[in-house]
Order: sequence, then structure tokens, then C-alpha cells
Amino acid sequence: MSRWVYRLPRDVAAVVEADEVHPADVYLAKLPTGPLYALTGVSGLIWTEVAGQPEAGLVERVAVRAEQEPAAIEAQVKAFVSELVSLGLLERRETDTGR
Amino acid sequence: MDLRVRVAFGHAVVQHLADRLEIDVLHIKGWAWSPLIRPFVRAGNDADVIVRPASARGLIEEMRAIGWTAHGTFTSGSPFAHATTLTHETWGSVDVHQLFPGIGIDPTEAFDVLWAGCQSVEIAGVACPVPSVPAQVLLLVLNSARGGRGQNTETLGTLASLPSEVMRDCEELVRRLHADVAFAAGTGNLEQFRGARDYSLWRIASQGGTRLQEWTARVRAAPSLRGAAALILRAPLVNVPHLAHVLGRAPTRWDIVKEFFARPLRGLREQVGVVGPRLRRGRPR
Repeated sequence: MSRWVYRLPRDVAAVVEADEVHPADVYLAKLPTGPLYALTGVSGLIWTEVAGQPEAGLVERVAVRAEQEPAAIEAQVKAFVSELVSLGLLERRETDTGR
Repeated sequence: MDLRVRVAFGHAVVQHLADRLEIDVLHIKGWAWSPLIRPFVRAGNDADVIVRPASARGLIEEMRAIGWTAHGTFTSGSPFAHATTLTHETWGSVDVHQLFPGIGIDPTEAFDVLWAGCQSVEIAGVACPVPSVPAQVLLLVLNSARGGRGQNTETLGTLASLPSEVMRDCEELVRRLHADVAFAAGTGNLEQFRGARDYSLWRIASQGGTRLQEWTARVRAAPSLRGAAALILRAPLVNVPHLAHVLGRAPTRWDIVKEFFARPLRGLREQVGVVGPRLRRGRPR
């Protein structure tokens, strides 16, 4: 069982706006000077399934919400999460290490 | 980006800086409201924080260093000299309070009282200290007491919905913070304090009045002669940062001269509006 989770870094703020039309519009801000990022559509959906959540089962969770087969989306999901980490908008941490 | 998102980021930025500077900041109103209060109040257009008074200058300097613009100073910002507004092209507007109008004790002592009961809530994913629920109720009432439109039905509706223990603790805070007069103004009970030094100030703040009446009441409410003299000296000065904000550019010397003369004139015109009809009524036929 993976003991890794993805967390919000200390210098990132996030606001998730969801309604019936938009499953998740996510706004991210690097603190304290920016820039701002907007994740809409599938990218926002992936964010809600990865931020603060365990790495294990990530692809499956996104697949359920996107109504796709895990194998069909695995590469894109992992690439997108890697991009978020490289931008400093997420960090991969061991569990129980706090924010 | 929706305004409420921008306001959330305003809170997050201020808390980020407070953590970096190791200073105490309390987040109030808007995103900081307790779920007990939030359904009853409107969303604000800016983020509001109270900073420990000794740390206010440091916070504002830090904000200015990263691109925030201060509009006015604590003394020029409002009749209560309580807050200053800073704006940022990305993060919007933040009101930095160093005291809250209506609280009668020393601002630092008041901050200690509010800080002692604070809780933490996440705003935009950032842990932000907020006052206790009874303290939030107090701030809600004090805020609506400055509404200038008489009794605030939203506030009274909120109070009616709260558990009795919250109101009991709130009343204890009113006593400790010497906020009786302003609290009474916000709950429609101001006449119980007709003899109080700051009665006129809160009557005008809660029910409206002219600029001259406001300054007169403010002078009357000043706790010492020295304080009153400082207010009188300050009254005719032009708030240059605010004028720049209104004009959308740095004011010229001529702008400042015009504003200097415009302010007393505005006050006189308002005063004529009130006194004039009385004079006409009193004129013998």
C-alpha cells in the first residue's frame, strides 16, 4: 500500500468552486505574489481527486468521476499530476508529515 | 475570476505574510464568518483582517513591498481611524484593521482578548485564525452599528437565531471590551446610553448625519482634550492617498488645493441642508 499523498504546498492557496454545471473549477495561487492558475473541466476534476488525497487509487478515482476506463486515462492523469508538482502547485509527501 | 475567489486569496496572502513575519492576524467577516452567521450576511467585496497593533506597520510595509498600494492611513481612513485599505491588481482589496470601532479598551488589550479565544479555519487552503463565535457576533453587531441606516434587520435576524450560550458569551465580551454603547447602537438600544460620551458618535454612525455632525460627535467622544485637539487639526487635512484612489492617478498640487476647499464646502452645504429648513420653519410669518 502506497504511503504517499499529494498535499498543497505552504506557498499555494486553492479555492474550489463547484456547482451543477461545473463539477470543479479550481483556482490556485502562488503566495504571496502569484501567478494565478485556473483549472477547469477535467483538470479541475483531477485536482479534486489528488489534492490532500493518497496517491494510491488516484487513477481509479478520476476514472470513476470521468466515466472512463482507468487504463485509457492513466498516462494523461499521471502526466498532469507530474506537471502540477513541477510547477510547485502540489507536493508529494509521506503520510503523517503534516502540511 | 469571481470576486469571492479573489477575496479568499486576499485572506490567504495576508496570512502567508503574517506567518512569514511571525505576527498575529485575525481574519474577520466574509470567508471568516462562522457557519452560524454566514447564511445571514452578505458577501463582502474585500478581505478584512485585524492585526495586533504593534505589528500593523510591519504588515503594511511587507504588503507594499510586494505590490500592494495603501489608500490612506489609519488616521485618515475613517472617522474611527481604525483601518486602512490596501489594493493589489491581482489580489483585490484588503482592509487592515488595528482596532475595531466600538471597542472601548486599549486596542492591544482588545486584540489579546480576541486572540485568546481564536480558532483556525481554512480559507483558500490556508489555516487562518478567526475570532471565537461570540466575538464574531460582537463584531457583526459593531459593524452593523456603523451602517448609517438605522437598525439592521439582517443582524437582528442573526442574533435571534443564535444559541443562548453564544449570546451570553457575547454579552460577556461586550462588558470586557467596553463595547456597550456601540453594541446598543447595533441592536437598537442606543437610547439607554443617552448620557454616554460617545452617544452622539454612535447615533450618527448608526442612523446617519452630516460630515460636520460626525466631526463634532467625534471630538465630543475623544477621551481627552489632547485627543480632541488632534481630531480638530486632522479634520481639514486632505487625505491625499484616498484622493489618488478616487482620481485614479497621483493628485496634482491643484487637485489637493481644490480638495482642501471642497471638503469644508461639502460640509457646509450638508449643514445648510439640515439647518435651512429649520430656519425657514422658525421664520415669523
